Amino acid sequence: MQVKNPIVSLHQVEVNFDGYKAVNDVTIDFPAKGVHFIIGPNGAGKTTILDVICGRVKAAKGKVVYQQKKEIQNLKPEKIVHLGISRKFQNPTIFPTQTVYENMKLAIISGKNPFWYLIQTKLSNDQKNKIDEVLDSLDLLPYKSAISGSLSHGQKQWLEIAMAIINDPDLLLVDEPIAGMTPKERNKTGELLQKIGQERTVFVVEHDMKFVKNFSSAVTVMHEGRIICRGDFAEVVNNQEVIEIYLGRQE
Amino acid sequence: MKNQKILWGALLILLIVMPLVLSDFRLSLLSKFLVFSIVAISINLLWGYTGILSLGHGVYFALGGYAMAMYMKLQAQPLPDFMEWSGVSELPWFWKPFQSLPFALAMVVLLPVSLALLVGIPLFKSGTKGVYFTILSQAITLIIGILFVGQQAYTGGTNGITGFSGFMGFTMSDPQLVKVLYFLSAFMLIAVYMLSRFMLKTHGGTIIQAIRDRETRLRFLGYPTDWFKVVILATSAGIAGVAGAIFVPIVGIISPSSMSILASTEFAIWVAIGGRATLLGPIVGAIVVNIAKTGFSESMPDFWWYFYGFLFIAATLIFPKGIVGSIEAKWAKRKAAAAPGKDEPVEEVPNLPIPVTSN
Repeated sequence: MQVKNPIVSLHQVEVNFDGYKAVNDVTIDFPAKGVHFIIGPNGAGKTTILDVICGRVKAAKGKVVYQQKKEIQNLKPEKIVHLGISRKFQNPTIFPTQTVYENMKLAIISGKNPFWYLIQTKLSNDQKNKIDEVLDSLDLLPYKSAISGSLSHGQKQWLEIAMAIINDPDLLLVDEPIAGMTPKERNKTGELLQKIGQERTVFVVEHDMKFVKNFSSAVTVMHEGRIICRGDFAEVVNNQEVIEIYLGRQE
Repeated sequence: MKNQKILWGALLILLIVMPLVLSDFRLSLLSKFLVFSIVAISINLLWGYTGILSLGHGVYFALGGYAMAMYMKLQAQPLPDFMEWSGVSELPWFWKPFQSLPFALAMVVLLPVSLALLVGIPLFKSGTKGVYFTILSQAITLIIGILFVGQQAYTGGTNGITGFSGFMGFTMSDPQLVKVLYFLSAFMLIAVYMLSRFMLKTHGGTIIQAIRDRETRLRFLGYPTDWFKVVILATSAGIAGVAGAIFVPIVGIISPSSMSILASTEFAIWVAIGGRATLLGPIVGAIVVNIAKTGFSESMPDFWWYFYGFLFIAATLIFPKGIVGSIEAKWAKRKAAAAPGKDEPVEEVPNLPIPVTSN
């Protein structure tokens, strides 16, 4: 499948965990913009694909090219973040002892210069407004000064999403965002991801098929470290190989 | 807020009154404890707030102390006596600049900071964490201690450097000097306290605590956390060096025993007992433990070390928040009870004796 102006391209990427090939010779171009879901059975290598892109694991072989010009497979995670690739982890990964506001503060200043921050104490008004705006869009504004560890599970997930999008990344990587959420929270999360996907690119790893059906603009199916097929939701669920993989698992 | 001001005023008055009430001997002891509080603050920045436990801070303390001692020794004798005994007839080149006070004062900070960079950059860049860093910090102290003992002709060996004539125009036996040193250490303690308070208020302060709580998340927000750790280690080492420099005129000697593992471990114990990650904890810990230590070693010296060990175990297992932390927690509870429904229960801070490395 030809993709114009891909946001990320993987070329023959292989990821090895002590001899186990979590990602096996994957070559794929991911289109820019939209909410792109990656689905597949457990152990298919979905999360590993996100990990390779954001620098959490290193590819044993192959190249990861960002926006058609920059090879990022050897960069450190903190460098990759500054290119505009942001990551939300599966479990809510926030700073539980600090307030919601402090969490957002850490996210917005995103540490380029260690020495500068030793004397800097305040955020600019623009930054403060930005934080309020993003918190408001996730209904977190009333909890701004709450200790983030005291939030509900769903709110923690949103806080982490808020932290991931505060600096307007071009690519947002999201790992199972709705696990443990109520149906209402799920819809809200999906709508939010769709809204982000209008301007930017969102990759979501997800198991919940209803969620994928409702909010995906494209779906990639993985199995045993390989890409099986891709397309919109209807195409993918009618693909013979995909049916076999999922039905085969049910036996 | 108002209560706090009263508390601070009372403390300040107490500090000023002390020289009038205490004998010179006791006052000198208190000055020493104030200096120890400065070291404890430096450990707390690193351990309490950043989650990096150094059990080798004695080396930074001693390096600051040696820089000061070298200056003071040269004021007393143009060629230090221990050099003569070892057959060194001319002052070695690296001793010569220590004839100048500004140089010596600069070295008080620069020597420990340089060592911290030398240690911190390769260790943190290679991802050394948790217990591994702690063990290596001990090893480094041990190695440098052995080096100082071995180079007797240049360092005074096991005996260290002593036999000073005076400090800041006072002779060592001048009773006025005790008071001057007391105010100097009190002033430096307040200065270092204010500095650490300011540092924790900056973005840097939030960042180091985030390193302690969840370093991985921070890296994926774009932070080169290794460099922040290097900076905080160097800052902490510099502060310890300043403490070492004031320690020397107070006790009149610096020797490799100050950079022993035992001495370094004691520093950490004070912080644990006083309360990690609290501003006042290290000061309270250093003073309370050392007053207890003095009391014990005057009455039953053999028993002290057992009691010390017990204190450390108690501080980590029974009340991990330490003295100040426990009091603060109680206050917070009372406040929450006074204003019901406002504060949700807060997730427990990971408070283990050894820094938790997440993920």
